[in-house]
Amino acid sequence: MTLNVAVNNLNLAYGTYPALKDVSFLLDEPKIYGLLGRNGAGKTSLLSILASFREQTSGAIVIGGEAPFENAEIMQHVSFIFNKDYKDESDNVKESLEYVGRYRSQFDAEYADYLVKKFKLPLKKPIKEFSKGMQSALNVTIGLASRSPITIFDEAYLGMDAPTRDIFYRELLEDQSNHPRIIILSTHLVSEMDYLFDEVIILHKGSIVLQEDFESLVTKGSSITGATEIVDEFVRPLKQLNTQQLGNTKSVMVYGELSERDRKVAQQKGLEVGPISLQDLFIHLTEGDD
Amino acid sequence: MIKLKKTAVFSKVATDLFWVQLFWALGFLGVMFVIHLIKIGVAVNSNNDIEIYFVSTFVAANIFMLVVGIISSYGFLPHYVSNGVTRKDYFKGAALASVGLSIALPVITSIVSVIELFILKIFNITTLFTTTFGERVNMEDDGIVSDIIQSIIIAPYVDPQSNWLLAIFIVILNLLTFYLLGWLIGSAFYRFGVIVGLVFIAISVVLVLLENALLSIGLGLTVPERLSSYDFGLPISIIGVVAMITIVLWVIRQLTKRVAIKM
Amino acid sequence: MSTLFDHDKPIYLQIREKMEDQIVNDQLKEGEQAPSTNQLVSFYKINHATVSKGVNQLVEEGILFKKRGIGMFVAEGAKGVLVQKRKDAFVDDYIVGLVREADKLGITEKEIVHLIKEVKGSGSE
Repeated sequence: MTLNVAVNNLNLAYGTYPALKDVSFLLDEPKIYGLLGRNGAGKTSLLSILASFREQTSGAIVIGGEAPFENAEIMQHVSFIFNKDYKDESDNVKESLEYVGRYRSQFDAEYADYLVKKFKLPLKKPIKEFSKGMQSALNVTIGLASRSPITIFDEAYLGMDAPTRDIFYRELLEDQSNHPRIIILSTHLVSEMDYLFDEVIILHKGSIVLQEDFESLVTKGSSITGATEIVDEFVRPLKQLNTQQLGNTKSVMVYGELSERDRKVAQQKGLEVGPISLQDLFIHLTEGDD
Repeated sequence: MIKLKKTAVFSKVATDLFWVQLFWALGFLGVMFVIHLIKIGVAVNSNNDIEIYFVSTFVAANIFMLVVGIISSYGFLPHYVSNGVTRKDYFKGAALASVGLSIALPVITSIVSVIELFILKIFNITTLFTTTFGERVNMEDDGIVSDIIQSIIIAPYVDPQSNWLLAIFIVILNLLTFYLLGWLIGSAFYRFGVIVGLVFIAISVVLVLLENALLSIGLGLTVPERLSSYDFGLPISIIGVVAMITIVLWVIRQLTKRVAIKM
Repeated sequence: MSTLFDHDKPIYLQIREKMEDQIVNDQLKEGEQAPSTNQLVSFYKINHATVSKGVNQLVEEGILFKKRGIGMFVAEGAKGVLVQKRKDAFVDDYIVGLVREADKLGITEKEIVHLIKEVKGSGSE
């Protein structure tokens, strides 16, 4: 079951501070969407509106054809997993999962148990005694096992060590291929997680910078390296993101389609054309006016 | 997709909240019971009267309900919204659970009281127990603070020996009032912060005085000088309290209807 | 992003070549199930779309085939096809470069044959 998410001219203001400005986008396929943005870009604000944790100031959001806020049918199908403080949680893992199962109709208890074992979570210990990493592991377990048609992970991996994050990514991919749904991953760990994204949405200072699929976005970025004068001439008509210079060698990151012909021309001139990572694209597309 | 007939969400919320809070209540009652036993021990030795369990707990129970009301308003709503429950369903469930809790407490304490009376009858020491409860004392220079304190400590009360059903009912009204005021105060703090929260504490104090006055007048108990001119029967005072409870619930709903969940 | 790959050649091509290598080396036998797209994504930390591109090319050329509901399998005769393809490319990929380099260094044809025999001989020990 796929619910789609249509956001139109969404605005959110905290008092006079505009957190989200005229945000519009459409998520209508069961894919993994990467939501990238700097600190304070508005990611969590946007996601909390999707999850009906708060209301927008103006603009429309429609999930599965209906407005989600206080809509029991829709809210039930949106899971919002974020960095939560479990310091008062005296329940244990078993109780916690049972509780979620009561309210999430698609919750898969067996799958949850499987994940608990994978993450090596103790079943009977009170959650407030867990390390931060284990709390996060429980959190993502709940997120994955709920199988909600719209599942949001907002930096849910905080505190997890690298091997645990690896398990999370692996299980996420596995479950997504068996039970495809809309998954939104909001993160700063771009270089670690980029291969997970089918589509990328970049949010900067409350506005959408781009929404594109991963492949075509990444191929739009190239690094041109070679002798300074030749590089300069070649990149002049292109959108330049970043420049580095070492002696007489210059390396420029450019953004925009480079045709086969362009590439051949570059090679003939002795320039090296290479790919740039999503992380680099992200950093340089969200720079400036800081 | 086959739509199975399933339990309404708010009923699930009501059940969950009821059991969790009852669990806390049992802890509270347990502590009160231990204190009660100690009091019995002392009374037996000094040949004094002591109240039955029902009586000795009900004032503390008011405070318990107030505290639980405050805690619940902060802790549970985010939990439920995180699991896709609407604020409306949460409100309905929590309101139901609070009524359930208000009923469960006096029922439990009554049963315990009946048992203790029965046990001590076997040992022939029933003369020890009383079912009366202090009445308010009006003094010349009663300030508003002493008024407030007396309103809480000398809560309206009916001697169960004269009418146990009414006695329980009055306690239920009291407990529910305190719980809802706790919920009200908590919600105000959550939504608007400290200053408005404090205003609502002030409002709640007024409401406690009001509830106290209404029931005291209706039950014919002693009331402060300035209220002595009022006289109406019990049915009116109960309607008044119920109306007050309804309004408090309405305000809570307004406060939480669209509240943003803190993360 | 993985560090297992060259910057020069498109990644989907490299994924494809890695699988071809495995088939030619008998690490992946005919009729055996090939790793799923998911497994490849997780293992190489490469995007889905990229992996699919490489795998789909192999399917188009008949090296792999899809068994619905189960996964990708190595086709009968796949190894033969790949070996032949590489044989055809052997001259361009290796011989031309070898001859050119030998000419540059002044190594004669006879010497080349002798060197080949030496390397082959020591290889079989």
